[in-house]
Formats: sequence, structure tokens, C-alpha cells
Amino acid sequence: MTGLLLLACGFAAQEPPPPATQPKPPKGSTLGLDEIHGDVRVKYRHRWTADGSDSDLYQYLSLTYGNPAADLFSAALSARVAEDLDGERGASGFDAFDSLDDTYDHGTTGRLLAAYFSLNQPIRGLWVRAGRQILDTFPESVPMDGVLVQHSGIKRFSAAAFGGVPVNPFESSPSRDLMYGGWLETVPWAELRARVEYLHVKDVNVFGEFDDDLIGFVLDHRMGAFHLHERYTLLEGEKHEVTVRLASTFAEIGLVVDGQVDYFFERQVTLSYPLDPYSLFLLDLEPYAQSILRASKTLGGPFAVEASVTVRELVDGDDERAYNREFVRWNVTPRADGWPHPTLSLSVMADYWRSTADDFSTLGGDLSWRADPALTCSVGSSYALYAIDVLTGEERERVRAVYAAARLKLGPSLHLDARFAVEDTEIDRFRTVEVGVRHAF
Amino acid sequence: MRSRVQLLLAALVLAASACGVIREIFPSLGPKPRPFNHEAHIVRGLSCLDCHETAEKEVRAGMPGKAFCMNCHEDLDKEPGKPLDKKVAAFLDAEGNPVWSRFTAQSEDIRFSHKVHAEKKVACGACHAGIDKDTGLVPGLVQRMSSCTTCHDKVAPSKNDCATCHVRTDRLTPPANHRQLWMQMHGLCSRQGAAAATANDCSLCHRSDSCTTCHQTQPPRDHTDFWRLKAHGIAAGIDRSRCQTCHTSDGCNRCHVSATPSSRYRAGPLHQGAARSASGR
Repeated sequence: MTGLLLLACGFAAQEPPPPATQPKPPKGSTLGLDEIHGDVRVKYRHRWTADGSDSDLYQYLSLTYGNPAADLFSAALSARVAEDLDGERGASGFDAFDSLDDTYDHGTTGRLLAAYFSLNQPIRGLWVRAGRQILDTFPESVPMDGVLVQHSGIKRFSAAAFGGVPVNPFESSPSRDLMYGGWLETVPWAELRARVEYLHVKDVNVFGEFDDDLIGFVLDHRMGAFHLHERYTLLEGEKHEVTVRLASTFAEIGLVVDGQVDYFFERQVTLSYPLDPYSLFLLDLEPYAQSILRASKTLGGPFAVEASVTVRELVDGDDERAYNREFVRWNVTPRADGWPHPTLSLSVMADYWRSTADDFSTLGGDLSWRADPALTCSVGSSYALYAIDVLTGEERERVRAVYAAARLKLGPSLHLDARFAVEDTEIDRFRTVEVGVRHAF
Repeated sequence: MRSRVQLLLAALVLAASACGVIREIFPSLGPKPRPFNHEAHIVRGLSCLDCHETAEKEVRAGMPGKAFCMNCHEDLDKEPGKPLDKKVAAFLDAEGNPVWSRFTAQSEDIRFSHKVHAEKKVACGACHAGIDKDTGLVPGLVQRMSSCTTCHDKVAPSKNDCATCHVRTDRLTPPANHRQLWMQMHGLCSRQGAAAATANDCSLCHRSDSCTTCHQTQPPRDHTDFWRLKAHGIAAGIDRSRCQTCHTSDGCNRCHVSATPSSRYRAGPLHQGAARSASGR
């Protein structure tokens, strides 16, 4: 029901675009529907095994008002509603369909992902954003209910400050939670950006009270086809992590190369949720070094190949255990777009893992057929997972899912997606049907 | 072997970093420019159209042929002691044909006509700013899209949509940089911003809430039922940072502690971790 209402809302908001020659309304003018854009998605999912089934409905609404680059006032909203249609939530005992949404007493759950408004340059170089937003400039994206003020009016320098409450959507109360910080950025010459950033989080949850200070130093440097990114962070005044990444694009020969090295200095014990939502359950994160080298190369005509190698090793090899692993992963993904027929796209993904306990390889792939300008069908198999049994420490599971999917364009801004998947696991054989409609306006 | 790979990568990026910084501090150490001197020709009275003869008549501005250059250089290049890089011969291939560098060449996706702009009385310098003072062609002189859109916005606002200049790219057809490693590169590019490259300006095609929409509501393909029940812990143990790309908060707690225990597939070390955390850090 909610989904239908959201969909109707989306259609109602759709207005024909104004003619290109129509003069734009002056800044700060009355809100008009033609300034509102967004999309509504409704997805029905039915899953079943030999022993049971589950039906859910998901609805997403995303709205934006205005253009932050051109309008004085802009705003955004993003929300999700999930409905358990059959009401069969696993209240006790094992239920193969249990999920996060089933941990509530009611069958309908809502999440407000983002809801903010922005004042864009009320005075030159000043931006103010207030509401629920995600700060994505830090190593970890941090959701916040609060205010962000940015100023870039001073030549070669910009600064920002923010303050508010960290968003922990699954926590019952944000009482006594707090976050604030800011950054200072300079562009001493055209191709170099240097930045110092600070984030303080106070998070009170069922496990205790956490106060964390994160300081980061960032350099972004462009050198022709190369882009170098370096970040060094301090946590509680102690060295935390360093990241060095070099990416380069050689468009003339169709080559993209991306290399990254991360070095994690000290053992990380539980932090506030915004900085580390996982160590409560995955335990300490031991010091490690991880290197990734990726490359993509066009091979002429419809062919291309992507390849990567990832090496992760613990600083102290004796620390290896569940959730702190060493491994080497090689991946190669050849692709063909428009081969062997112009309407076909084919990709194959091959992985080879080498770990302390075992070596193994996996294979997956996808074949898509553009049957019609409005219809694309695909079949494929998602790659098996790198599997370690957390109870025994053994690496043994290979799980393969196969799927068939279709996307049908019903109109200029209306899409229908359908998908059927089968997944064989040691727990059960899952079959899933999903049908979704997306309307953009 | 593991250490060697990491050392190699670290050495690579540090060397590149050092080279870049040194080049900024000592510009003379930068890439050697192609030794064609526009300024030297213009101060001698030549105009753009003298060499680029079709700039007002055709799509391409055109490059001069060897014979045209030799009208003046026949004698000039015979001067004793004249450096080779200032002679026409420096631009000739083995067959004696000129090999002109096209540092401002655009991709095949770009539709641009010199003739149309000349008819609209757009001066050469409006796009090729500073060319009259240019003493050597340096790689990277490609025209920025922002200079096109800024002018079009003022002079021809009705001709300022994607299709005016792009043959293929529009709001539904991604630009070229979206085709290779884009899943891994888009975050880096978006943080660079439009100042570094126009294609990094996400707002050209994406709304301001697009990050939230994808990262919070579009699970990757490997997030299957097995993933939900068991594999997410395994994957998080391998690379927690991948989880944090989208999962920014306390979802673990909700399932693993607040919910009724569901099965033997509950995360093994959970209670140990939770208990220790509850007692402080």
C-alpha cells in the first residue's frame, strides 16, 4: 500500500520539462514542482526453500529540489520502507529468512537515509547544509543529523565545520551522542590539493561510552595522466593508517591502472559506531598491510580485460585467525561487448585465492542480451565466496548462485526489473523472485 | 613474495609522488614541450589563418603542409648554426611528410566545428587562450568542457545541452571514464572534483543524493541469502573496509545482540566480543 502511494506521488510530481528557452525563475523563488526530481522504486521479493517461504515489499523514495550549483536553496530526501507481507518473522528458533528488518516488533520498518536542505552561496563561497546527511570526505563515511558549513571564498583555501549527532539507525536512542569536526583545505598549485581534517565522535551505546578523535592529512596530486592520493590518519593521537594510491588513465591505449597500499599500524579495539561498527563482533583488527593492483585494458574491437591482484598480510603473522586473515587474490575478468553478436555482452570472472590454509579458484560469468532497445535479458552465475568456517577455521565452502534477469523499459522514465535466482548452500536451497518498478521524474 | 609486491607498489607510488612534487617546484624539469613556437610566428606577422587555412571553412582547422612552411623556411633553415628543433625538418617523418602534434585533439565523442564558430565571430583566442604567447606545445592543452559551457551559457544557452558537443555521451550514456574500473575509481574521481576533470563533475548527470541512493539501497550482487546468513561475517573478516563503504552504522548490533538468537550460524566469537566491549576498551 505504501509503495503504491509512493509511486502515485512520483507520477504526480512528474511535470513536462520546461522549454529550453524559458527563463529560469529568480533565485529564492517559490518552490515549483518542476524543480523537484527523484525516483520511486517498489520491489516485491518472494523467497522460498523446501521448508518455508517469505514475501517482502520494499519501497524507496528519493527526491531532490533545486540545483546546488545554481540555486540558492536546494534539498534532498531519501527514504526506505520495508514491509513483511506474510508476517512470518522468525520470533524464535532458526528461520532461514531472518534479516535485519525482522528484528522489530512490527512488520513495517522505515529508514530515513538522508533529509537535508542546503543554502548555496547566500554570500559568495559559503554553503550551509542542515539535516540528515552523510559526510563522505572522511575515510569512513559518517552519517550525521546536524549542520555542515563550508566556505571557499579565500583564494586557494577552503574550510568546513560541522556538528551534530551521529546517526545510528538501529539504535533506540541517540541520547548523549555527539560529533563535530571540520577540515581545512588548500590548493597551493593547480594540481595539488592538501587537506587536514578532524573528526570527534562521542557515542554512547549498550556497550559503553566511546570518545574518538580522528585526525587526517590528505594529499591529492595530479601529474598528467597520474593521480596520486595519500592519506595519513591519527586516532587518539596515535598513528592509525596510511594509504597511498596511484591511479592513471592512458586513454589513447585504453589502459587504466590503479595501485593502492594500505598500512594499518596499531591493533584496533572497539571504537564508536561511526568509526567502526564491526569490531564488537569481529573482535580486534590486527595491524596489516594490504596492496591492490588493478588494471583494465581494451583489446581492440569489443574485447577488454580487467585484472587485479590483492595481497593482504598481517604485520605479525601469529595474529592470524578468524576475521584477521592473510591472503593473495588474483582476479581476471575478460569482457566482450557486442560479441559474438552486436546485441550480446559477455563477461567471465575468474578468481584464484591463496591463503594460509588452502588455495582455491572460482569462476563466474554473465551473458546479457539486448533483445530490443527496451528489453535487456541476462543470465549468469555469481562467483563463489571466499569461505572460512568461522567455527572451525576451515576454508571449505563454495556457494554458487545462478540467475536470470530482465529489464524492460516501459516508458521514458519507467523501468521494470525482474530477477530469478537459485542459490545452493549448505543451509538450504534458496529460490528468489524479485519484481521491481522504478519511476524517475 | 608478499612483501616484494607491497614494496614494489609502495616504491612506485612514492617515486611518482617525488617526481610530481619536484616537477612542480622546478617546472623546467617537466615534460619537454614539442618545440613549435606560435609566438615566434605571430610576432613576425602571421595570423592563425595563414597556417590553419581551413579554420573558417571546415570542421577542422587544418595543418600546413611542408611546401607551405618552406615558403619561408627554405632560406631560414639554411642559416648556419640554426638548431635542428627550429627547422621544419624536425617535424618531418622518414618520408619527408610533416608530423604535427595535435595536443588539442578531442575524442571521437566530441562534435566541434571551427567553421560554425568562425561564422559566429568567435575569435581563435576565445578557445585557444594564450596561444599567441605560446613558445612550445605542452601535453595537456586539451580544451576543458567548462570553457565551452561557460561561453555557451552566456552566448547560446539553447545550445548548451549534451548533444550540442557530444556524439554519444548524454545523461543516459556514461562518459568514457565510466567504462573501465569505474566501480573502484568513482569515489576517487568524485573527490578530485570537477576542477581536475570535467568528467569528475558528478552533478552533470547525477542528482545530489545519488551517493546515498546507491550506497544505502543497492546491495552488490554477491549479497545473497547465504551472504545474509553466514558469508557476510566471512567477508567482513577479510576486508572490513569494503563493508564500511555502505554500512556506516550499528546494523551488526541489531541482529547479533538485540534479536532472538536464530541458529548455530550466529557469529561464533560474538558473545566474547560483546562482553569484552561492555566492560570497556
